[in-house]
Amino acid sequence: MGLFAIRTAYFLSLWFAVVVAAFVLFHLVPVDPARTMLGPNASEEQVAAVRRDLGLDQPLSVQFARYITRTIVLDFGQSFVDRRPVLAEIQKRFVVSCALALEATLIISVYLLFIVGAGFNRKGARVGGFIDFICVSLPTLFAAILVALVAIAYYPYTRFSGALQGLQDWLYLIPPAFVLALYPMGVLGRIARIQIRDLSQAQYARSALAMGLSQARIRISYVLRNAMIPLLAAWGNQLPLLLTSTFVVELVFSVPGLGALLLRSVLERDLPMMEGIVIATSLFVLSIYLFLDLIYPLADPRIRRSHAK
Amino acid sequence: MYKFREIAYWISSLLVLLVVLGMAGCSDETAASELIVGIEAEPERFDPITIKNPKGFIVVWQIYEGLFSLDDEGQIAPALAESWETNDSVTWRINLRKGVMFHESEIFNTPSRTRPVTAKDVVASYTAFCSAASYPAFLLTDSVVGCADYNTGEAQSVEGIKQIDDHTIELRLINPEPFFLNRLTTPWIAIFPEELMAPQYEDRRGLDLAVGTGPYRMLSRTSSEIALKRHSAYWDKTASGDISSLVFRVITNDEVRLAEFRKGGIDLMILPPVLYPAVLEPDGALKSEYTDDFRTQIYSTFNSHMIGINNNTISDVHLRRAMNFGVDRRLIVQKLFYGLADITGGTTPPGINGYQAPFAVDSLYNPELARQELAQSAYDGEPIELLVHEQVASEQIGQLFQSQMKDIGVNIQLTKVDFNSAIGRMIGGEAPMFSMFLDYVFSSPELILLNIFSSDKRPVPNFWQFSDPDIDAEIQELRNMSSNAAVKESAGIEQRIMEQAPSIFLYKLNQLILYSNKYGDLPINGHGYFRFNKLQAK
Repeated sequence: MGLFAIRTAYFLSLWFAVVVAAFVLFHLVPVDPARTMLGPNASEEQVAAVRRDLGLDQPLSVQFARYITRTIVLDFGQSFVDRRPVLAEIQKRFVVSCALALEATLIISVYLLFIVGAGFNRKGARVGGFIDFICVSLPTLFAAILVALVAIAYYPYTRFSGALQGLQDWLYLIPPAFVLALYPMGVLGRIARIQIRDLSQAQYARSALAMGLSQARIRISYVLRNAMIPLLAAWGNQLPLLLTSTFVVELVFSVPGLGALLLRSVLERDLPMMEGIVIATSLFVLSIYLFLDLIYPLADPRIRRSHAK
Repeated sequence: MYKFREIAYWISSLLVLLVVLGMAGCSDETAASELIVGIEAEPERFDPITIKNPKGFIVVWQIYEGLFSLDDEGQIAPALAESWETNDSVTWRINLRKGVMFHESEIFNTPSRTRPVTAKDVVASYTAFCSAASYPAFLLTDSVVGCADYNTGEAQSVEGIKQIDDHTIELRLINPEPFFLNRLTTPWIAIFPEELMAPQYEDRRGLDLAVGTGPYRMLSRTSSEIALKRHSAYWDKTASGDISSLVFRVITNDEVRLAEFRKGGIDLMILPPVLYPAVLEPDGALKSEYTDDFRTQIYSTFNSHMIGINNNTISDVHLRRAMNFGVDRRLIVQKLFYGLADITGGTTPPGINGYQAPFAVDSLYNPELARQELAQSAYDGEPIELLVHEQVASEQIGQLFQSQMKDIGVNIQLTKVDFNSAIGRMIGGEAPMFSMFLDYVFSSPELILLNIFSSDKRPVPNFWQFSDPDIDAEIQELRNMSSNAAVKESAGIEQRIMEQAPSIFLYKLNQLILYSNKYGDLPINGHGYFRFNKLQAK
């Protein structure tokens, strides 16, 4: 309970820093939100009236106080571009991005299972090394366009309803999820293979073999279990990236997720939307890190013991 | 072995059945009645008050329409208005078409879930367009009495907008404007039911709720697809097209959208210039691999591009003229748009309301004259900053312009910023020059001159800070002329303005659409209003 409270307080303070940084950064951007809303044809009087309505004529301290009180309850207001409610839009897009990340996670898991299976075999390890190299070195934009064009030619599910309404939408997400999974597959695959190779040669594994334990038991009980610890740590780092680095994939495959929305908001200088996405995403990512922090002790008895002390 | 054969037999039978069922679902009738249009980005909210990006108009103008429109010849055509009258060009009485029904919607508390349009709706709509939240308020604030005061919160209502009876409204203007109706031909000034503005629909308006009178009504909307269905009670019974439902699919990547088009996943797309090399031969003809199944159609727009000049910063008229004569517009149009643009010497798009531009296209580029003008100027070779941004080939235009200016001895320095920053710096007078475009919403030259070159329109939308009292007087005089005379006189005024080269106007863009050749011609008016309800299958 003590660990949970300490880690929660730590991550909350990080989140608060993100909230403050978002305010500072977005107020440094030389953009007039009222002009963004009204466009180039509006007169200065019209722009001044909207600026008053938005409270942008208030001192920065007043604006900051109002921003903090609204942000704490996740009230990000309305988009400057078309006044749609920011939180509702983020929620809608978040679901789609999560679905994409989930499918990518499944693809990574399947690949890791393959690596684990092939990792004990010398030829399999070589093939796996080559695949890892391709996965890591392929530029995402190139891979995305390539996979998208191949999918249009040969894959039957190339129409997305936009709202995960049925199986067809989940099937649509497989090619973009595959592209999204490529880099983590390469990184995690390499870690998994090296761990399996090294741990198979470890003294305790040899001793177990000498003691007459079967190969299968040694792999599952000793090698895989120990390989899980660094793999879990690396996966923990990759998992939030699946959600936050989706914009290229989402743009190429026209997936209406958070990444595409963030990119559009940046191009349109839609400050409330940008603030909302950054703050909501950071909250989610920090929650994942908190969760991973709390489950590490379950996988690694050394951490469990150090916390007990 | 026998069992395996039996299973394979049943599986293959099932597959054949599925294929047959699938083919039955894609009968010719469905293909002809549903048109799938590929668009490059999710449109904004379909809120007539706030929508601003012209790329969304292809969808939103199927749902909403205004009192007036433009016909295929670019002349004013009545839409929800049936007739109009004015004695002095100041007070305009507009009679509404009777029996025009709104789309069926939950916002109506009637058994049929719809009701006819009344003058009250028109007053509510026009008042909303004058409000501070309105993006197209500029169309009315400088003409309708009280609109500007309402916009800035100094009045509670718009004095110049009145309901006379259930089907008549009256608009009172600040100054006489014989050309006033050309402000209203854009569907941007659309009519919507006053119920739509109720606070309970604030968060839904334009997202899952859009109610107008247009030829199609919205069935559903997600970030990826927008489905519209033909408005069965649409007032224009002469529109006998075959398209009963429209689906707009958002496919953001240009190459992917083209691939999906070739596969048959979409029936129509506007071709962005970046795809011209993939689809067109160098002479602009469709490549042979497309001609069997597809066709193109060019349509004219009111979108004009220019190299804007801040006349306060670059006040030397000889330098401005030198740059104006030194730019080879034909080369820019050919290199960037495969010739799909009309070269212009002034700001008014040729053909708008019968406007004949006073510039001979062949004499616009004259490097010799450019050098002579430069020699007369006080220009000392200092670099001149030109702002470019990410939209509509602005940067490429800037690069070509820079190279051409180098040939005559003018040193142009490009600064790339994002579009919104370019707008901010342009309006703030911080940019000596800027590569920019204008989408005109006025459908007559008098209004364009009035807005773009009048001294009292500085800095917006007289972005070049042009000021000439004689020209001001000439523009104001257009208010006292008949329509034909005013259009003709506008050409003379524009010629006199361009003698001072306040900016360098380049071309009026034409757009290219690519669609299945199972359809006939698609009528599109100058505002870019696609009349899908008139599209017929061959």
